[in-house]
Amino acid sequence: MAHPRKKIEIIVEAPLQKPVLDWLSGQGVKGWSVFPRVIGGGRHGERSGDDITRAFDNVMIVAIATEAVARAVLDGFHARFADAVAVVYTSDVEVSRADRF
Amino acid sequence: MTDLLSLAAGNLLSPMILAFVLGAVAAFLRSDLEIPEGAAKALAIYLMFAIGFKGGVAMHSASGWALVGAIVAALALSLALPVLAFALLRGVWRQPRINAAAIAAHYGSISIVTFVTAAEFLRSRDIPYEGYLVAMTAVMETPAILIGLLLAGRQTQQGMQHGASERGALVREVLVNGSVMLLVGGFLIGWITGDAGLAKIKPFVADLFNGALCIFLLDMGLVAVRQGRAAKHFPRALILFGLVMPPIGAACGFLAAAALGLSVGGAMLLAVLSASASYIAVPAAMRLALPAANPSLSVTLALAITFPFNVAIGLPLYLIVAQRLFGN
Repeated sequence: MAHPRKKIEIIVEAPLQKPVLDWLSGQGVKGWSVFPRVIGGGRHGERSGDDITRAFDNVMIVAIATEAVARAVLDGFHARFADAVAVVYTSDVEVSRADRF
Repeated sequence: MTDLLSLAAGNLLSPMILAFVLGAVAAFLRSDLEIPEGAAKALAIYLMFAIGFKGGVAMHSASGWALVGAIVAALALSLALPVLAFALLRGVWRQPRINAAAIAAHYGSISIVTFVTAAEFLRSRDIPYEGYLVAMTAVMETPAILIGLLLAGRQTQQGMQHGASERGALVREVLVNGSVMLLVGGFLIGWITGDAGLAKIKPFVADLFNGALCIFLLDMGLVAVRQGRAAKHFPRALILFGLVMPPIGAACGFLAAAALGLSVGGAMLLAVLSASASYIAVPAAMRLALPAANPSLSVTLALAITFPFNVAIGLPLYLIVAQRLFGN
């Protein structure tokens, strides 16, 4: 049986990966996946994914949570990481095991 | 002057520096040449272990007390250099406090690649240096991160105020940073095992060293030019800081070298350490410590301006000065 949940995706500069994951746990997120070296471009220029300094690398964090947790993440992220280079968004997904998320 | 020109020409025509130029030209021509990140990391690990190990071997027969003085001097330089850089950036270049503090942290730390290139520059000229210079390298790697934080003052930022995980990550970065572990670890292994240890791994840590350095410097040429190109809004006036700060840092290094009574080679290497700026350990730490600072300013300065200046012009310049001041 399918259960509605929210997928949270956060593309954030690599040095902040650990603080962001710690904060997500505090918000009630139960699990996550990280895609390292995410290549892309935007307001902060291009990110090549192979930066020697690590300061200009991005990672993508993906988590699935209830709507309430996802809302708290969306509303609170930029207050907590005010100067971070980050994109945060959520979308609707369905999961098969409701107790895991 | 003739000495300087012939030394500079000899330096520029070494395979290592020409490999750096090759990387820079490839990036300038927008070639798709790249060193895979994993390979570059492996090369960096090799270079740091090898230089640490060889420094330790040189310490094997030396007095341990010299090491104590060297560590104190290294800590004093780590404190003085960022304060000096900060004062110049605020007073002369009128930089905002937060950016001045972040840039100062980069210049208070050191560039291991510059140090390794300088050590090889000396070795190819049969100029010896004290083994504990490697220990000074490790000591000078991270304290400047904390000095940068202090210099930023209250702007230390909300991220730090309520971020225990940022503090934890920073403390780890300062104390057990991978480069520091490799340098100190390699140094201790070399110190404990001495010449007998060196005999066992010499083909790896000594004979292959220059070839590995060539490929790493080729990558640095690519990275330096690409970073320079990526920094579209870099203020031109700051370029001068990237060229002026290295000789000022080198002068501080010579003062410390005089206090320690170093040889010509040792004095030159300490000048190189003091003249160089970090682009591996500090940038990521500054994103945690001072996220409001603009990282493209500090990284462009350290990587695209100061690093090429030091390897192309700085090395022969500092050696000539060291020979004048510390030669017999």
